Amino acid sequence: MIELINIISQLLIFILIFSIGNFSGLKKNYLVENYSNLYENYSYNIIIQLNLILFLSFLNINLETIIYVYLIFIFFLLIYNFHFLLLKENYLNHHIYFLFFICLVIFLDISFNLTLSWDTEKFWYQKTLNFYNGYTIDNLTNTNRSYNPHFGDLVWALFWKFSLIAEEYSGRLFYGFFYVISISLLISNLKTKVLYKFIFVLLIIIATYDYRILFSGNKEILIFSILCLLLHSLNKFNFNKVKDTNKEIIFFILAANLLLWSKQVGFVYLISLLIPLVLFFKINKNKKFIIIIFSILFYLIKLFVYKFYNFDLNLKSCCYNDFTIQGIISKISFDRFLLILSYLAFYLFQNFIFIIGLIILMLGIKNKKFLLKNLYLYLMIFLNFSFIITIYILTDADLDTMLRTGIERLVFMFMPVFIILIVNYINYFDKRLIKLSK
Amino acid sequence: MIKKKLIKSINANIFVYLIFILLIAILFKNNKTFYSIYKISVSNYNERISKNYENIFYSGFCRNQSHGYLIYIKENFKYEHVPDIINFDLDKKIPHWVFGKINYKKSNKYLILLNYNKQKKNLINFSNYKIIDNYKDSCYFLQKK
Repeated sequence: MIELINIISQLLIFILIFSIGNFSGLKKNYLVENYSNLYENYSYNIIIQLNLILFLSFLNINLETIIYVYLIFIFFLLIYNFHFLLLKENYLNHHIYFLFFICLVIFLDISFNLTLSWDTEKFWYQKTLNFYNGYTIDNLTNTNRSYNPHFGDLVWALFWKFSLIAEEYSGRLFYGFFYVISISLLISNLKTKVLYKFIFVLLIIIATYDYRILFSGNKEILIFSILCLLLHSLNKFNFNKVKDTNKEIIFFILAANLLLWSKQVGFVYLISLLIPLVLFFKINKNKKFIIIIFSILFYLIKLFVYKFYNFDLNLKSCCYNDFTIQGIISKISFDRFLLILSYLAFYLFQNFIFIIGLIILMLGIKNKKFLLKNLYLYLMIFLNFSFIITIYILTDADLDTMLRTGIERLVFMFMPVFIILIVNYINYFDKRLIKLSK
Repeated sequence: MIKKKLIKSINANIFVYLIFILLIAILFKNNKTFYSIYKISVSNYNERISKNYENIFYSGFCRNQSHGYLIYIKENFKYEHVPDIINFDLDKKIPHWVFGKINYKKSNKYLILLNYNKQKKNLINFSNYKIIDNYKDSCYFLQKK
């Protein structure tokens, strides 16, 4: 019973701590009227606080010191936004009730299931234990696969230490909170009644929820959630909904940094976001330049940290050895291509979001207006598919085994692109219905 | 007044509310929410994780990677340093992480045997050890005499 109370307390701590900074400039009336701003505020808080934790870890300080500095930061935010935090509308509204309820269901599942995935046991959990046991980033060279970014495990260890529950899963509860916030934020782009939005959030959660992929310690959940935040930001740029461009760009860049540190593959997902941003978005050229420069800068910082702490920079994993031109050519064959496509189709058709997304993808081509507005999503989907095919076609390991064990998670990571495509299509369709009824 | 407004709103959107409730019921069912609440109330972390590893194909209580037995040892016995572990099922990994330590010294005093195979009994001389725990002659927790 005490554990149940602690789980609820942990959820309340998350709700409080990630609503503390009023980064999106919420006003009292916005809290009641504007659904998207509330979730935006949560996501901005998450981005800023996680970046702070990540940068503190670079200073080679242990977790306890990181927590002290983090709490000081929270304390200053608390003082700065005290008048805002006293508003009862901040917490007593149906969005928060809904968030609390859905998070609780997910938290209970994590607290019951508890098992770690094979990859987590072997590679990720060691990094979490490294921080939890008081070691610093310096000691990560003694863990398996030091080339895997440590950000996810650092957050896991931090919320494990900073919790009433003394067990490791309390750190993973944060993943659950982030997952619900990111989906709610993406769905907030729907132009419809709040109740319909709740229904859509529930549908997406039912369609995507899988303890084994999401909460067994894998880092795909972070890529998924951060992609949701970045796509929300891009969608705002696309439909000219950004009030403060500079602020939005800062959040975009900071979220991109987290994407880079979530998993090695995060870099590729970032490229698939940046190419459409440069090609299709009507943003000032200087601002585009700033986004690109800072993304490169953050990547260079990552390389510097890897070099400084002697982390393994080569991706000499099980599966890629031969990168000579001859080797690459010998691996490209129609049979391999067909095998990859068949696995890809199999996993895509297992989830109704992908099925609906693919239908909309085809229907959207017929509507020029919709196509023009969402061309960037088409390009992203094309880039992501190409990336998956390239990854598998270039492998030196047994292709069938690799596909069986990995493609499901790779496909899952770019699901937010399909979700936002569906959201935009519903908005477009809705507009047409309103016009017809008039 | 508020009550009337709420009732009016529910009446107007009864179908949508029904879908909403149905989806919540599906979420509850998929996540076995009530069962989770019950299990969290009546059992502790170690019991739950041990039980759930029994359902994973590469593990079990005293089978394959034997997460359950290691959790049981961690929970019930005192030892200095992490015990040395030998898994007689050589294809299977040893989940040292269960002990929650990193950069640890392996104990010379304590030894855990997993999936003990009598055909390979030459590997271990039991006369050198005191048996602290024996699970079905398959998993052992030993202390050096």
